[in-house]
Amino acid sequence: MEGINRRDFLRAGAVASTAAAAACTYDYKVPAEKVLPYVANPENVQPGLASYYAGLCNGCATACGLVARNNDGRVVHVEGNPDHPSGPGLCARGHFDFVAAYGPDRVDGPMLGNDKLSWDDATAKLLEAWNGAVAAGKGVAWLGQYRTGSVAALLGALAGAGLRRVHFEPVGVESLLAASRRAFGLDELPVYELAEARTIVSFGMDFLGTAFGSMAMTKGWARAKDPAQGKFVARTVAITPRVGQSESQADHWIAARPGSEAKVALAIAKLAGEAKGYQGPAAALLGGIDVAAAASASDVSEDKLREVAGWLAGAEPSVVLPGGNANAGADATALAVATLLCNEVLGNVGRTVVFRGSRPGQVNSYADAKALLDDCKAGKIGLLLVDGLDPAHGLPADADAAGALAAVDRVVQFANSGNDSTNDKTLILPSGSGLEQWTDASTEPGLHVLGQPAMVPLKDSRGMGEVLLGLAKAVAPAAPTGAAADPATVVAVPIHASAANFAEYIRMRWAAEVWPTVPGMPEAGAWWREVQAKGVVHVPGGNVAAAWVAAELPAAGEAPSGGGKHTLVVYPSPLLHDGRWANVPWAQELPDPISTFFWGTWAEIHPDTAAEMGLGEKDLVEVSTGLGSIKVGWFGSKGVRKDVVAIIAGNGKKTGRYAKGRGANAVSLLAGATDSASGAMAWLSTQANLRRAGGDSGVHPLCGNLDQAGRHLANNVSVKDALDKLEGEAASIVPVHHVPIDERVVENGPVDMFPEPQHPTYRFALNFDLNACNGCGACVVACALENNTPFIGPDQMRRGRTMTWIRMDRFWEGEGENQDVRYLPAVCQQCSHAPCEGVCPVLATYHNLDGLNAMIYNRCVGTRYCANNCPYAARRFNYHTWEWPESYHLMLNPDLTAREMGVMEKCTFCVHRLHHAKDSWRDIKEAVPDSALQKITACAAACPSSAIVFGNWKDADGAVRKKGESPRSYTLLGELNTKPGVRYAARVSYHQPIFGGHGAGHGGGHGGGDHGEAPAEHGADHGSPGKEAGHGAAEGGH
Amino acid sequence: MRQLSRATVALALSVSAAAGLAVSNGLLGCATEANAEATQDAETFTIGSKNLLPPELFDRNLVVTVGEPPADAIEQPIAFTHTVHVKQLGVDCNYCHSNARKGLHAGVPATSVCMGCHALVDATGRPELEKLKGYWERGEVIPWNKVHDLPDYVYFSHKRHVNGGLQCQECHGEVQEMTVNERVANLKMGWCLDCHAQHESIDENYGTKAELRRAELKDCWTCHK
Repeated sequence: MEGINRRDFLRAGAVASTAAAAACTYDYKVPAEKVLPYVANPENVQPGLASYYAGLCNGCATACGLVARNNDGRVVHVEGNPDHPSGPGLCARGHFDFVAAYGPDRVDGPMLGNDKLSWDDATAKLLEAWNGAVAAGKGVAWLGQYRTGSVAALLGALAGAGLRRVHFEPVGVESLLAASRRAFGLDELPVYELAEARTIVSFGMDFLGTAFGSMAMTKGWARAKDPAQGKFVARTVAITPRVGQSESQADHWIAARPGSEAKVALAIAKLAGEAKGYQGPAAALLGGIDVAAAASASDVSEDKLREVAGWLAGAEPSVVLPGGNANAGADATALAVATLLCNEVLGNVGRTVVFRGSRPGQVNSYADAKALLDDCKAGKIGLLLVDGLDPAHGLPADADAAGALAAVDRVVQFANSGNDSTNDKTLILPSGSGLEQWTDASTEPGLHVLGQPAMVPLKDSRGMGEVLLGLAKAVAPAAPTGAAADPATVVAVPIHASAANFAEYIRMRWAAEVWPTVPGMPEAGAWWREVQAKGVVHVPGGNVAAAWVAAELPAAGEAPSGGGKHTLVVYPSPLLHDGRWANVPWAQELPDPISTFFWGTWAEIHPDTAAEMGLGEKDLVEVSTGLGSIKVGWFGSKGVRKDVVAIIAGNGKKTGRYAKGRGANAVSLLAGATDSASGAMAWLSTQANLRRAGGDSGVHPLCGNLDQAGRHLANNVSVKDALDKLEGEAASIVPVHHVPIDERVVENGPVDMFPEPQHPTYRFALNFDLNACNGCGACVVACALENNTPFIGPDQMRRGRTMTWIRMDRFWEGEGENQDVRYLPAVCQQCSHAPCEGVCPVLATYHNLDGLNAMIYNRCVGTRYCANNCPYAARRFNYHTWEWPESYHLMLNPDLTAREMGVMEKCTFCVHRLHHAKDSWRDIKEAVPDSALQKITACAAACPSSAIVFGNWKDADGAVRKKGESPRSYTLLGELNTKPGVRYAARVSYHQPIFGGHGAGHGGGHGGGDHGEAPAEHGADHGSPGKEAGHGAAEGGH
Repeated sequence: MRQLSRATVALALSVSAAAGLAVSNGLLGCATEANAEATQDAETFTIGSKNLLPPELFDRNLVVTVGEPPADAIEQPIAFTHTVHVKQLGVDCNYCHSNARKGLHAGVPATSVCMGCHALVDATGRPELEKLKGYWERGEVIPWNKVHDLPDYVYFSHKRHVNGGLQCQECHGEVQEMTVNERVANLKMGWCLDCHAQHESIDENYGTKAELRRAELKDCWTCHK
């Protein structure tokens, strides 16, 4: 067999048996297809080329800017707008409004019960109901989410004609507003600017997740933690009964007894005030604070309180964040005022806590919403307009929203599909997705965001603004504006009377209000074109001086009641929010950052409590309060107190094909108590009992391991090391293993048996900064939607067949105060010496000249050897030809293949986007510069904290190279010599080191297992210290 | 995509069949020579640790002739002839297929482009023109049948080829002579790779980097994503 290699030999053998058959069966035909050109080509539309539209994110009240990419008439992706102060990046929830646009449950047009109406009939019925209610002497009311901009202005005009406006959201800000009013006499939200904060103490605000303004806070937090930027690293302390996504990033977790947070905050204010020698206007308030009483009420030692106060006082500026939704109890305002007092005595007001008119429009409290629903029930309301809320699902049982809505003569819902609050009499006016209509928003003076339609509506929908404009013209033709209610959005002239449509209304409003504020007053027509191109007008107005005015503190609230053994913490889902995205299957399937559970509802219970109850892994737990009980699965979280049970909200809906019957509604267990000072819903006010209910819960984590089992995957370095060795210095400070080198065979320097492959122009590379990553999952969602990754449903997920190309690994090390939750976004590492390539029998995966580990789907025969050989578990095998509702096909990205059963797939570094970039630069015969690559992948573009940087490793000045050469940088499982294109920068933390945390002795190989690993607490946590010892011994033997 | 796996299997078989021919024709010797030649050239680029696309597999004589002859002429809703428009009237290809320079798809012109001229042409008694006018007046899309259809997992960019200096006729045949448009090339992968390996425009456009470009053009990810 001289001259023939193995491959040719096998090929010849295979041919001998198949040649005859192949010769007559080679006839692959694709079905005959049509070419359907436009009748008249729209301007600037070229088949196959994307158009980009600046828009407005409708994911929550924060109203960030976004950019929608339209391919051949359909929006196929959204990204954050870098011109908006909260950009670049877009959070996970921000992507779901775009998915919801393609939801299969969307109604075709206006609906009354099951009957479809024309828009003429529907608007006539709306007007008829308005006039009927007025004639009958009944009220006309609005119950909706927070609104700013032109919609709020129109509602102001309608309020002048008698509309009773109630703007309420379950995940609301009313207690924070009330606190600002009390403490500073300012009717606006404090803006927390974290970028310069040296110490961040949070009482539970979900500042990296569901809080109002979280995108900006995420950026500030990442900046405050980056040692290279400010030459300091912020210390984060969380004082909460439960570790959520935001708290998981804290260096210290202090588990104060639920309900005692306000006392703790006051005690810290007093201690910090003493340390700082505070003599300001709030000094008189500090005298009456009893630190010892706070310590005993909260389970937190006085020494610990002093330590926290010391951290705050010792590093200027600092910031104290208020309580979030999940731990807003009956004293939510008292807690918020106490945190503002901390900031006041620490001198943070005007530095890290600033006031500049920020608020999401008119804000009403839960008490206001409940009063409206009570009036509905009493038959006082003839027409109720519901915008964006699902009151029958999102409000506690005592509000009886379903009963209240049934008692109204006509309920009109601006919703795109039926929900738990619709009944036979409900008139549904589908307003379409935010990507299909004109919208605008302004959450602070000088910041205006324009939302333009980025595609033709997929259904017969009509924007809510359009409907309201028609209504205003009919019932409030020359009405004065509703100035009193909403100072942020006052309209000087009632322009609704003259505007032909809502787009014109917005333009006229902006011309009257925004245009005059723009410096230099550009020519109006050109200015408007620029506004449409950029989507954002930002004229920073400066901060308002805030002086402390409160002469007394609000009374501390009562401890949670109900007589149960456990305090019930219900928290908004980081993905489903208050339940608004429950019918988006990708939102259901994305693993929760803390438990990594999906598709359901679960309770977080401390492992010791679970052991006491004898809970088995699959058992259901019955959680009961005075109002009822639900049965849910459970997750053993070290991040809840032993006397706390935490349940995720958002699920338990009765309608929607993906939401119906999924999990249980935790909000239904809440007693409906309110914070007396603000009327806010008291989420943390109820006690519950737990009971093992057996059965099979069906919920399951994606990450089976709680910790890293002693491996150096997600690494931490100490703050001291990080600050001592900043970027640009050579030695690594990350305690990872290196490729072992046998001294006996090395004479002229190290020899590599696997030299780098050729990379003539590019070596594409990606850098994850674990110090900025907080596990939010935005990259996972963005990647799935960009790359046509299907959702697969709970059954397949439980079998571990997840299809998302990014897996957000969560490792939970240690316990107690120093527990350390680490996130590791794991993607295909694009190895230069890839274990997967060598084992592919058909060469469907190989290393290309750009440094990419290519994956050719149409060459793949699905042996799965590659996945078996991948040490990073980065490859996904497609088990099904996914049956999707037809409407989701419209959302597919036409730039890459939608894979089907039998094919292996994985992260490609968004190769189609790289192709577009290379194609554009090839036109001028140049290689793509690193600066044009940094945010080119969908994950890098989506990351709210800019933790992901992409680029060309060959560019020595490129961002990815600079990051990759920092002392914090390491490769995952680098000792395998896979030479990955993905690098990680270790997190910088104040945690007590769990794996060494020093960088000594790792230069050229393993001396003798000198990692200093496995401190006692870690070993005890495992229950198997021997395992750790064994690990160390094995290293010594390298 | 539903056809993908079947197509994949068929393609795999065809590759085997081609290799079979190679073996039976004694081409293995040639392959060895080709490899020897490659190692002598200082500026060679290989993709991956192995030679991904052994040149003998994609020799025109082996792959292109395996398989079906080009498709028959396809009947269209309007009997449009390129002869009249291109040969007799001298309309440039880019006038109607203007997207060919800009994007992936050359595109079939919108009816409005046809009507730009045909609004001035008397259609009376000319049934094909009346059909066109009918579509225009009804605002209806003309459902042209695809003559050149690539599988859905192939991403072909007209822009790169047209801007690289290729003539339309190199792939589409002498369209100006066609009364009924037909496909002259089989559009199979070997046919594509023939040019990707050696087309003269690569040298013209890339000069000293032509060898690199030729290697890049053999990367599967050039067309499959």
